[in-house]
Amino acid sequence: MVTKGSNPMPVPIPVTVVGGFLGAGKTTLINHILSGDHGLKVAVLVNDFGAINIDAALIASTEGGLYSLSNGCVCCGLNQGLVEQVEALLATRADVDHIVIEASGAADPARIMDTVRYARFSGRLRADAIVVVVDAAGFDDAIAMAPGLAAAQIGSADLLVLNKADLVERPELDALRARWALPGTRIVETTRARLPFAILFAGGSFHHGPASSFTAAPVHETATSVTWRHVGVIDLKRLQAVLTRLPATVYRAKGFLRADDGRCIAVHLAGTRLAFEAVANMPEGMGAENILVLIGFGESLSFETALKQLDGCAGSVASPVKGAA
Amino acid sequence: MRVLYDHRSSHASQSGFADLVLINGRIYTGDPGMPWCQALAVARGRIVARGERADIEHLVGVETKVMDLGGRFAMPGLYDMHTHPDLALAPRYAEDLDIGIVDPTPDQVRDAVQAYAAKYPDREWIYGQYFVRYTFRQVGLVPGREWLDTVMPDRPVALLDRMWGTMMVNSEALRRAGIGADTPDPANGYLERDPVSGEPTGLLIDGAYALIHAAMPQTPVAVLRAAYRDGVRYQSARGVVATKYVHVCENRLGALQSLDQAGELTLRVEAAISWQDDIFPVRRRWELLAGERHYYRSARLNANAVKFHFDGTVEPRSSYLITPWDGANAGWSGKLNLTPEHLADMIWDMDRQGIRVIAHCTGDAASDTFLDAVEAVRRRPGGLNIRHQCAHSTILHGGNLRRFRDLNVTAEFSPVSWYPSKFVSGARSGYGPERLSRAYNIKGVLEAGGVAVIGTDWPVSPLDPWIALETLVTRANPWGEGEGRFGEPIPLPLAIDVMTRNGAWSMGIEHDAGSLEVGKSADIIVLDRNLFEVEPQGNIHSAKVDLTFLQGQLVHDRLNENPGAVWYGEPPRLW
Repeated sequence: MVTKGSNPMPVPIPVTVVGGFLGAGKTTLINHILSGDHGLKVAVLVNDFGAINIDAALIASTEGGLYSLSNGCVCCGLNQGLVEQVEALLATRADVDHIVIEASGAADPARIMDTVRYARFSGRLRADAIVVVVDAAGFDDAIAMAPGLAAAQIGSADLLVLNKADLVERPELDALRARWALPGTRIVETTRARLPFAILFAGGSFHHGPASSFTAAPVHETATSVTWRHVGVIDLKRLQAVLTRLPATVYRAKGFLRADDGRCIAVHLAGTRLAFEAVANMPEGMGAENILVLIGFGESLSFETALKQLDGCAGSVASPVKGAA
Repeated sequence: MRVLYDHRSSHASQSGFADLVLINGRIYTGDPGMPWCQALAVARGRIVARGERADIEHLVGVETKVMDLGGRFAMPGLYDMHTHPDLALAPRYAEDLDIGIVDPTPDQVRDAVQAYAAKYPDREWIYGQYFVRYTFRQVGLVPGREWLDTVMPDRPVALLDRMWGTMMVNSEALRRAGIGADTPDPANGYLERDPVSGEPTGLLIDGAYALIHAAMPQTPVAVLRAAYRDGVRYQSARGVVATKYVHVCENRLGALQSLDQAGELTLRVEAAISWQDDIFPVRRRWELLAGERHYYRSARLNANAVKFHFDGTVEPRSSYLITPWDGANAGWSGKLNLTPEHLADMIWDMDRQGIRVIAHCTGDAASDTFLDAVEAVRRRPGGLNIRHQCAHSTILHGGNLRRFRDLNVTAEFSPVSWYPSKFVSGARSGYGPERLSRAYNIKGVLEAGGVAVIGTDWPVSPLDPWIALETLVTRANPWGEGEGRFGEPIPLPLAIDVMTRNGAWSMGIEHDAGSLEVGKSADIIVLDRNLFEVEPQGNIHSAKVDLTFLQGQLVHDRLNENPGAVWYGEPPRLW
């Protein structure tokens, strides 16, 4: 168990921004998170509280507009300024594992993530991913209505969710992907916005979750993970080059490693968004190893090339112990 | 300088006749002693007689210009006591790079930057708009200095993205701004950084723009002059005879002086020097405040004022409030931008020099603190009892209404949201119902004996003062786009006072101007309708100003009726 005592630096809470047009399935995704069995305390800030239909039986308590659910999640409306709402949440519930912010259908979710990255939240919040939900059946209409906004939303996506995929034939889905997927864009096709939690939350937080989350295993449905282990130090520049060019079937990477400049680094990759976060020490029980978990999804998934490239990131000392569990 | 030729010293010989008489008018004077007259005589810019035609007949000589108003309504010219034509219009004249494509590809951005650079070889900076991030992603490129350096390695470049929020700069721009890995992020934005080295990537978000703007050359005088000229022309055509241009620097004063010398400053301007660099840098602030400002002084222009932002605004909930913002469970009540001690010392310092302090105070705690500081100054012997100004006064505490009178402070209100509109029900609803119910309490200040004025605060709300006059009387939407009323209306004569005499008081010229009385400046406007005979809603804001006189000079003539006016025709369309 990684306890706070072993890591005196404050641990930033990862933040996901969910964007997409009205009717694309954002609210369905939010409900999926609020009622889901992911084992995380997720705080959800929703744009329109009335649209979220929380089952009364799930509500454990209510205080100051903050609904606490029996699965550990909390939910509140985004009825004041984003900065103030997040400050208020951090003041009352600093123990949450992950924050999800729903953007309005007319907003560019990148602007919300910009705010999350303001200096005032430095060390407290970490921009994890922008997830943009698209209605596969109605996207052409959305584009026709607001072409610039639709393009901006998709352009800002670290992870693109093609929702209502069941309502559309395969050739149409492929055409949609071909037309709108930008280089590197990670796409998940869903029905009823049932996005695998392994992809949404990277299987939980290292800082708060049990150490066993390192043990790679199929986490949810067809999401698969593999763990790369390496003893020695890592050349960060080379690692950056590898992680920004992973095949689009690898959705996430997370791990801890020792950089060749002596720093301990937490790695967070969500789609195309990469962050190296300096931490005080490696999590307890990791020994001399560097560990990186890659999470992939899809039929053509293969980690072979990625693992080989990672082996090439060794710094001065190299003694790889790799294993795909 | 035109104003120097026009001046006549005290013992110069003077004609006994009027230069101008207006006859056959329905003239509302704004003077309770004689509210209405039919004729006015003007000599050397001042009103010398008024009454019926017979009362001015003896002043008509061969050189006197006689204008028959044909029964039209006339009144004192209007006072707009807080506005910013420079901020609204300068970008139009700056000739910055405008790529002009909704979704330019990186290649199109490159071509536009290089073409602009070739067209303006002497411009130090290449500054403009827009790029969009997703077209870079579409072709597998990352926007930032690395890419921009391949486009323009040697001249500084700064481009805004279409959604705003992001500025892309090249390495030369970062170098000139002194931005490196060690540069801390500002509170309201950040520098995008390389995850390994921490070096800025050349993408700057929100408040981080200011780091680049500070390194860029100031807006040139010629651009500011063109902007002010449009603003002045519009204001004269809408009957404004005096205004406060709140926030100026040495270049802005230079632009206004240049208009003044060309005879195109057709209203009185009080220019308030910015106390902070938060809108644009003021390079000669302390020289101006020490006395350099007097070089710009004329009968129509003075810079005996300073302006600063004491608190924030409603939308980001940075207005400083006495009780916390609704629903803010962390007890957030906004914040001040300067310490109260800074404010107290500054007001004392300015007051002793005869400089008016105009303080942006939207929240009730900001005005509370401002009035406290003025009160402390008033208690100290040696102050000049300058009429300081509380700008916006959006939310006032009931206990402060009397203090405007007691402390000789002007309460200035902006009409942007004192009537129902989408803006009020959206952005401004953030104050919460209790505070909104006492927002823009013009009537409260007036009933407590204080002086209230209006400032259009363009581009926050339109530069047209007639929207303000109508909605003072109705507190209803002038275009019928919003139900009901908002706040407490005041009667038309009182509303005219607010926009004429009170403005003159807030500029310290109430003995010289602001109403049509013998001895006062002939600042007169002639309208196409009698405001007292129309249904106010929908009909005051649409009134047309046929003629505007400033100091007896015809400065605006809408219908081309007379020779010698400075401006002719309808007001320019500015928005």
